[in-house]
Amino acid sequence: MDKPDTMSVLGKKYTRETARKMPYGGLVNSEGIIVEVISEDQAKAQFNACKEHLKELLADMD
Amino acid sequence: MRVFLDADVLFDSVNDPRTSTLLRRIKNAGHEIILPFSVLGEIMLICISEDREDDLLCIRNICSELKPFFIVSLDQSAICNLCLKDFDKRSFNRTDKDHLAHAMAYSSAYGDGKENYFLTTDLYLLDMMLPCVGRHRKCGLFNNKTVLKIVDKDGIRKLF
Repeated sequence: MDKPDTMSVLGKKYTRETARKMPYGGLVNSEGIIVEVISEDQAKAQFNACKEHLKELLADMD
Repeated sequence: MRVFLDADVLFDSVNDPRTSTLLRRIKNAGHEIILPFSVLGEIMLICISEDREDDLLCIRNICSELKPFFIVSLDQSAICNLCLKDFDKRSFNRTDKDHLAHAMAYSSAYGDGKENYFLTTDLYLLDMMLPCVGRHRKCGLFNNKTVLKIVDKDGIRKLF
């Protein structure tokens, strides 16, 4: 399956269809318009910031 | 600044005009009011299961006035949730940790210098330790970013 173009849904109405194109999440205004989309790079940066701590967390759960 | 709302703040605003006035003041001062999807879920669950249609309508009207933003399905919130679950093991309400995880995930995505507050009326929640801030800090999610602070109504009033 092709990677969705996450930024293509900016300014569009939040629907089940457009939601599929924002796999990392985002922000919707009170009129239901998608006003911010988390990009893959932002999501990766967040994950990387947590990576080391996550390893400890998962090890504790063994 | 961004102000994330806990579900109890919206329920409180139904019966306490001081709370709805405070929310209006936040909005009128130009700050962003943000609701995680999980807060909407909790409100719906309580209103449906307890037959509180009037409260639901009132909250809908307040939202119509405040024009909040809604956080949807952040990938990072699953990680924040796991971290929160492990970090402070005291018996906090699980749904509160869901709301906080969304607020942490969203506010850590942007290094724009805006202050981030999670507004609650739950006194226990004010005492919760967050893994990404404070002396026992465990993660680097908020490195070079403005950390999320949990505040009550008095705490947010002091900011005006």
